[in-house]
Amino acid sequence: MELHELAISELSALIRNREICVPELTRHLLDRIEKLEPKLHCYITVTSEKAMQKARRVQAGIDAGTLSSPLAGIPMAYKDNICTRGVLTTCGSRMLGNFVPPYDASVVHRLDRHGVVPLGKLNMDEFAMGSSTETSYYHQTRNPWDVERVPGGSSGGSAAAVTAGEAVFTLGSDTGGSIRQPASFCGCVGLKPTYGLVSRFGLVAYASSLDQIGPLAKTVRDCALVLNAIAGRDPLDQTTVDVPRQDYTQALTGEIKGLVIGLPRQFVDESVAADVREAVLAAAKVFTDLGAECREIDLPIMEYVVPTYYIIALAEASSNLARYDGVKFGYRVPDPKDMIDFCKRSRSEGFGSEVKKRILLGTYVLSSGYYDAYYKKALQARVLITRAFNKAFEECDVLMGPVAPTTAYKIGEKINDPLTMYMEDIFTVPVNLARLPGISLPCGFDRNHLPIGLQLIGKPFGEATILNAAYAFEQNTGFPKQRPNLKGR
Amino acid sequence: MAINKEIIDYVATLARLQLSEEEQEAMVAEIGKVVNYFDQLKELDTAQVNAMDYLVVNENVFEDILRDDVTGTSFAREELLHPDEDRSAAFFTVPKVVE
Repeated sequence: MELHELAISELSALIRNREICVPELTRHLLDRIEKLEPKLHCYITVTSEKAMQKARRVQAGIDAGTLSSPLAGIPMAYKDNICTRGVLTTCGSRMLGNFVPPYDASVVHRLDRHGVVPLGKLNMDEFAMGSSTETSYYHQTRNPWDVERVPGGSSGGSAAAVTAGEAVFTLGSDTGGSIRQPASFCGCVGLKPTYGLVSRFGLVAYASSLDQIGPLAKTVRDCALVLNAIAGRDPLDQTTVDVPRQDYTQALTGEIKGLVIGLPRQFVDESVAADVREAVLAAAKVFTDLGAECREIDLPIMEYVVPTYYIIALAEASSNLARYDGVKFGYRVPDPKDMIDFCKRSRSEGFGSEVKKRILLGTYVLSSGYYDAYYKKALQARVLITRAFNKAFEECDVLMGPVAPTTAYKIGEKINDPLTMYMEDIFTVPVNLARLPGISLPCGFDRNHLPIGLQLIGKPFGEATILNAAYAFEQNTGFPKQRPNLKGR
Repeated sequence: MAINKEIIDYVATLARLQLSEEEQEAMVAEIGKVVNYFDQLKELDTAQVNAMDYLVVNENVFEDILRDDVTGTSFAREELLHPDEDRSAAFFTVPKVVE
């Protein structure tokens, strides 16, 4: 096996046993990035020099015995909406094409202390608004399984980089599915933590009551290792919750006898592609064979999750993106007539059309006369959705289903039909609305040999349970081990 | 609620966005479709539902949230200025606001 095909613990062992050194491993990944980027475009910025400098420093720390984390020396990358001090952070937008943050996001700071080696910043849908990485101002990331297809979004670069071996693990962000769906389309593991488990300080905000940062990696254990490093109360983010620290890898026993897994009827109905539905039902059988109990449940509220999500997310986005006025940072028009013109034109030229549309929609649902019918109604609907999921968790430990109704579609196929794209977020958005943890892991391939993602949803702060269930599935099936054939590309 | 050019104009003014003729037409159509889709929430009975349920409220503000009044990280001014600003500037430069 080549170095870029190995998981975190395997590489960590090689580093600790002095079989490879960190600069050598980093060089290997950088070479791979150089080779594959012309085709895949996972990255917006590659920071080769910084990476090699960090690699040497980390190796020195390992040699001196001061760095012993399992993540020490592991080359990784950040989605480009996570602030990295001194490194361009564009959010996939022209608006932040010149934005170099003067500070690191809290997750960056934490991973830095563990000795990771950042390789660069990953491509994404503009301001995280999209499900295919087609709205990036910079380029189109391609799915490593079929380069004519989308990698999913908005963390498309994060997922594609893991699958293609251009990073050992990555961080993405998930507001309505943006970690889980690209993980599903690209065939890697992606975890959205419970709202409040991981700090959002330094994450460029899209929808503040829905956003969460999370890991994408080749294995469930890798995700657990990264979660260990980034989870926990942060005084710089007052929405983080003070839950007792735990080692999520300790939960990975593979033992799931007696686990009750609910499969909502609405997750496997005719709206789901046949191949996807079959794979999910086959996964239910795997769980049953391992001693879990899978039972069908009913979640009629699912009919309303997509409009509820989009009203709330877009309302919050319109507020969060109001800060982009060209004054303190970001794109500025050169010859403004006056302040209003300065603001309007900077925003209109800096933002792409999907972002503008979402800002307009968000402004509309918050405006006087429409606020009650849309925004307030959606907040109330969110309460009903949360209640319905909490009720499901009275009889179930975990819920399962597909991540998305389809596998990766062709680039350009759906971008002109945004409403259809919005509706395909149906299985991921309720997890953000109800503030629950959700993990996506590969569970099969469709007839075009494209990955299918299985989603496991847990109770609030139930990451250990879903990680273990995912681990049990992974250890008893071959799907997560398959890699796309990128030889000769 | 039917979306028309006037509503889009009004909302664009609120959002400080400027749309070309073509963009305006496209937005009327696309936003119209999405708002129509949003309208299905009317079917939900939310009469007894408190929108603020499930929001975690921390009541021990002074103990849990307010930190001690000690100086933390400071940034050099040049790090915080807009890249287009003169590095020696002490302010952000904008067009005249007050007539």
